[in-house]
Amino acid sequence: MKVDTEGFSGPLDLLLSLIEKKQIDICEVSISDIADDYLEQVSAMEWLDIDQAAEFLIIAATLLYIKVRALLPPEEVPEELAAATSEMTDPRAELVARLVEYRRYRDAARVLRNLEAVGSRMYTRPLRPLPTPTVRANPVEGLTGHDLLQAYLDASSSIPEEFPYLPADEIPIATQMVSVLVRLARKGKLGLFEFLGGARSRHLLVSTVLAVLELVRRGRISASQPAPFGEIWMFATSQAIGGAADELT
Amino acid sequence: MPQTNLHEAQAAIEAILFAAAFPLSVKDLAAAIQIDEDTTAKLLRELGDRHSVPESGIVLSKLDGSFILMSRPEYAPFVENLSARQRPAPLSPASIETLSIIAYRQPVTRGEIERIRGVSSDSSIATLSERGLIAEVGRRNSVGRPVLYGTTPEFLMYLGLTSLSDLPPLPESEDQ
Repeated sequence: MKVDTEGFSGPLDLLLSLIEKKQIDICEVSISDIADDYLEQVSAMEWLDIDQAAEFLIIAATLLYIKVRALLPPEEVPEELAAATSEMTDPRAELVARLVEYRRYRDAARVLRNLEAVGSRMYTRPLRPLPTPTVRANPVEGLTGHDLLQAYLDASSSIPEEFPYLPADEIPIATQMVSVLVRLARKGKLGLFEFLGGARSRHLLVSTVLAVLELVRRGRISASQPAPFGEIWMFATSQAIGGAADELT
Repeated sequence: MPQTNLHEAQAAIEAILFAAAFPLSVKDLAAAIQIDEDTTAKLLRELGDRHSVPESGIVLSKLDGSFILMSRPEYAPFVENLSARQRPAPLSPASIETLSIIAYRQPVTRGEIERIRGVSSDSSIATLSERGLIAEVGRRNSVGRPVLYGTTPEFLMYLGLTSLSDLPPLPESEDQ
């Protein structure tokens, strides 16, 4: 949709600029002269939008009406025309009042345009949403780096330090699966924590846990924990026996 | 911890304003540095003075009683060079005309805007809303309960105004 027809923001803008081009005061202007200029401009415009065309034409009709009235001697104004307009205000005065009112905002818009040229080019960092005003409790309030270090040392103390820098051998999960199944076949049931307690390294610990999980997933063993935080007991299922060798393949 | 040294307090205000990308009130700042509001306001004035020299690339802008650091308009071309995008397009004649009516007559209905402009203003109102310069501020208690429009804090920032009372006075009609 073409909004600013020929650079005019609307019919009043066009009308006002025609009046100002003639350097005459709005109140003194001969509407008849202006009507011709206006119609000439409007007929030269290309209309892409019917509503917009209508807006320009309403003013055109008003101008023509004013012109016709001005041409007729007052006593010869047809009765119907006089009757139709008697309760209306003088159309010329009404149009002039609208133009005067419109001009105030058009001029104000020019002032805003100057402000825009400066204000819109003062940059800030990209606006972000304001943080929520509620202050959330700090979940690590009072904790220090020392506390974290201590917690790490406590957690890792049960596992002997491996010699650093030497790449440790990876323990295949399959090996541990066989190891679990072999132990189960011998003992019938096995405590998980007890079993893990024998791990000599973190690598072994990790692959043992993964091996146990894999066995449970495959239905080769079952596990139960009778009491919360208690020992987790692993049992061989009926599928456990005989498949041990397969795990190595 | 309360700031007792006023130089430090002023530096703290500057740091907060730099870190915050949104306008902050004297109250917010006073609470953050734990100093009374009168002293905070005084420190803000000093901070503003320090930045109000041409050698400062940053200005302290006041916006509806809140403060924000912005780039100095004289250096806008350089800031724009940095960004791949061109400066945002200025508003169209129709939009800025609509904006002026809303700014000076708010709260105002679409009907009143169109009566003054003599044209439908739907697309201008949509553009201005989209750019955050105007917002619906309520409804008039008349037939059809039409929506009332007003300007936003973004509007003030867009035009570099400190408050609505800072708007240049509406031109008087010399014919009245």
